[in-house]
Amino acid sequence: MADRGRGSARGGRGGPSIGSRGRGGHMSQPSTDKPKREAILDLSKYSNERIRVKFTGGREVTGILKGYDQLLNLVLDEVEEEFQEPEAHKRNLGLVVLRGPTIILLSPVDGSEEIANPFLAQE
Amino acid sequence: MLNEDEKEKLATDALKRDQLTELCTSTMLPLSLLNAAQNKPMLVELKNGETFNGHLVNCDNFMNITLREVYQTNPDGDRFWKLKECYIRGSTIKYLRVPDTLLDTVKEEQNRAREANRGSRGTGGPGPRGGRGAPIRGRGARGTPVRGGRGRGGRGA
Repeated sequence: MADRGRGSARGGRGGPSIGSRGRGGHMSQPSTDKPKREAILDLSKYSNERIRVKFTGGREVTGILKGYDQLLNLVLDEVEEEFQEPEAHKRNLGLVVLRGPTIILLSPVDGSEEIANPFLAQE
Repeated sequence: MLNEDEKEKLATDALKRDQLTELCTSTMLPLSLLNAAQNKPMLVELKNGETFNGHLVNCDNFMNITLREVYQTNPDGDRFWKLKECYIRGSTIKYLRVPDTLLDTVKEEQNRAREANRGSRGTGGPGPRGGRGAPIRGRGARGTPVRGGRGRGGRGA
């Protein structure tokens, strides 16, 4: 009696739960829409390349990208901080960890250059 | 008292008005517009006054963006740089200028999407939309007693 009772209870509990779990699992897998949060910037393409980084507050550095994470924290080597004031000059900072949330601009140094006003020609 | 024809006309007029307002007030979400601007040229001004002219490569829901073939201008507007590409943090953006034509493109797309949505629901069964849509095609007076009633009440008062 006890066995049967327990058995049936188990069976009763086990049956539906397995069924529902199976179904639930099956249903939930397609419905778990990943909040497609792909990074819009693939930093791997800049690995070991010199990049320019601007920070909130106006500071600006260039350095060779050695590492990064999804928060845009960066590891740069051979970092040079560039100043415009009082006159254009640089200082060397070496190996640096840059804090992602303070970075406002990021671009590769290669293929970038100062140019004459490009909008005069168009008008 | 109004005869049947007049009632029907009022009802269809009310419906047309509703559809018009629905079209006009359909919201243009900033990030939807930005998403639709991919590969389009745009000007981005940052809070510090720097501007970036380039083609949008990608953007996310923080308004972080990546641009390609960029002309950067300093806040004073007297120095210029050409960048192959750049990443801009959304929270530093003051505004983005996008092509005027983008608005029409996106509205058209929205309308098409809405029509497609209606079509699929309509065939699916008597949903709330099907019920609302039905009166347009001939059942006006019978199908919209509520609207007719409201319309007349408004005019009477």
